[in-house]
Amino acid sequence: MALWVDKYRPKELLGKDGVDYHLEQASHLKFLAADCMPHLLFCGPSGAGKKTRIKCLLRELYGVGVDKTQLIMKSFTTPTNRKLEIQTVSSNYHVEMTPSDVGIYDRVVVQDIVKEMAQTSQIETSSQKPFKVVVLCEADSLTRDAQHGLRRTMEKYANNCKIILCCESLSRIIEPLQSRCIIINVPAPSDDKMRAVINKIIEAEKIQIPSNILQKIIEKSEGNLRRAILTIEALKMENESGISANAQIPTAEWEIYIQETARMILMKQTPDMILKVRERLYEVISRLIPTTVIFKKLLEFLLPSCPPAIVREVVSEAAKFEHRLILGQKPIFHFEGFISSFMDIYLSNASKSK
Amino acid sequence: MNCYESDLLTTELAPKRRDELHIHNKKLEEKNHIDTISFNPVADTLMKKAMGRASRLLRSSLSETKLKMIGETANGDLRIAMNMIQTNSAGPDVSRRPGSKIIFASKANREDAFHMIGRILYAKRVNPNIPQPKGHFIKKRKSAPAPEPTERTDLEHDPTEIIAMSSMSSEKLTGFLFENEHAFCSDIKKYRQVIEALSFCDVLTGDWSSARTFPDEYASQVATRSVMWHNFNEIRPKTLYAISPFAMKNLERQMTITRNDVRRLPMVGDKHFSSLTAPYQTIIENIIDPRRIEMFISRPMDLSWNKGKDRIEEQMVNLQTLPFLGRKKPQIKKKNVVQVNNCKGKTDEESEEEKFTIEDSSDDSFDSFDES
Repeated sequence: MALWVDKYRPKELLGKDGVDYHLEQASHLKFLAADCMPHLLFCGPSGAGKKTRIKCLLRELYGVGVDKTQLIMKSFTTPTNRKLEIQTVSSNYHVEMTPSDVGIYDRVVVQDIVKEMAQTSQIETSSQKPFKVVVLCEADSLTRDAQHGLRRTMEKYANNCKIILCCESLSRIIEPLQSRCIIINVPAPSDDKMRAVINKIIEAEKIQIPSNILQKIIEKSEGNLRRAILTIEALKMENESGISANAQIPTAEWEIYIQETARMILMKQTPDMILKVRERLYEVISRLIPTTVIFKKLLEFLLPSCPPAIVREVVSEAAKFEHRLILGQKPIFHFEGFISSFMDIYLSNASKSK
Repeated sequence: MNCYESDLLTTELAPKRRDELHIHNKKLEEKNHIDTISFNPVADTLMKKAMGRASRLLRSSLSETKLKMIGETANGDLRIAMNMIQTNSAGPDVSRRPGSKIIFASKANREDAFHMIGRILYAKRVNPNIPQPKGHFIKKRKSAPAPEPTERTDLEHDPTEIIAMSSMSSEKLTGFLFENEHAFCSDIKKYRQVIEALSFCDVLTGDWSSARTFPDEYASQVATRSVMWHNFNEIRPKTLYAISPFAMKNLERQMTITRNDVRRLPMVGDKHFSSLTAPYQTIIENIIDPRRIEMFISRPMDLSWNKGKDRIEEQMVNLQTLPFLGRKKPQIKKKNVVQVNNCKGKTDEESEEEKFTIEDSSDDSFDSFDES
């Protein structure tokens, strides 16, 4: 049983089964596929359709054979004789992988994969493209060494191998890599576009959703189409006898948990409360929620209850500790630093207003 | 397998001629379908035998208490144990060394580590209110303890000397200080400054480009001096405070197990699987098997991580089966399922935490430790 996000994913760039929004960009991609294709860099927020466009582009390049993929667990050996394993999705024409799974050894993995792909050129160059494609997901998690190693590899094997990078933020891609790729910016769809996509899925699945529930789901998704579709499918499963106008929108339990944690922080500001909050943050971290996502959610739940006078200072402290969160290795230190700073600022403002 | 416990392997790995070694290994692997040979740490009884035998071969053998302490410190590593035996047997005054005093060659002593952490957290300072005892007068017992000074005086022990008490790394020291600082600092302003310093130390040791610039002791110094500066004029825990180890170590071990299970799923490049796809997929596909990693990730929030994966799965099975009693087919579990008291009682019993106890520093126990 496939999820709706995979079942109703577009399979072509244009046409009947084509993508639903950013049609002008889709025609640009179709033109790029017909012409000699450069290296590409897809960037955009989560849930905007970057992976979908990459799959449609590959299908445009190589035909339906690109969908016949297989999972391969590749092994590598680092210069320090440490064995690494990474999962890749491969077809006859392309390889797709996430190099950040191997941590700081992603330089070895990226270079070996590209060299392996570039060693063999295509046999039938008349009926097919003369190159192969390597798709690197989560390219903004690559280390600086891997990105610097990749720029030389891209130039060296440019005839046999094209690289497609997929990332969420351009700021973590180094400038030499950006200048060697054509940047395809995939922005998040607007609310009208999301409503159109969701209405198409609703008609195909023959379910009835009240318009206020649909509007609430679209607002809650914040431009993330994957989240919107998953929410509607979960809503249908939870309300088998039909969706009423005051149905409860399903939310991930860790978000409710973080919201309660923020409420605890606002109630009482003592080191004992910090200890309780710490235990709760351990629970959320243990479920492999990304720490930057936790930090963002925590700040989102704290800011509406802040007095306006201290919002600037709170956001400044949040930015400082989130930066340290990325640099350091123990996220709980920086969470606790932000929470204690927030408590101190909040308490000072409360005592000042009395 | 352990090479001490397998007679077959012991016999086969002792060839008579050198050129037979490879033939025996190849034949052995083919015959027994051996893919991997792994070595466990040396067991305690075997370690005791080895150390006793090595000690008896020396000119003056070590005592039983010394060997016991060396065995505990080596923790299954025979090379460390042999190095410590040799270190303690060298020198001119070997036989006149006290029974429980040994030289630790490679690893930090446990007691020294906790004395160090206790000394940092208590941050005792010189108290000028205590009168100096005269030579000719009998010291009378005071009716009340001397009041603490209201302004900062000199520390009783220098931070550099405290850090030198143990060879604990900066990363571990900041973890211990982070875990226990909340009990020694009741003011939120001071606590904020201390945690900010510890956060800065994590950046120093975590970011590899700055970790190679500064020496490792730099972060220890920053953390120690910040804690000892701000732990002043505070209500201290009095008797037998239990120093907790850093919980993040166990959490990292648990997360590694979970992360490896996620990587076995047939997907590539789903960064937000844990935060977005897994919770909704559990609802959509009605996953009730706790061994599925989607269900494990999106389990109820009151099933704590520190129970371990097997116990969590067992409790999830209990949670799932109870609402289904008397029903033909399982239905979707509601969010507000009432917790059974028996299960909650079991939860309280199973939550055991490992803690270490040190004495209150007002009893002068550290001074007596130095004198011995």
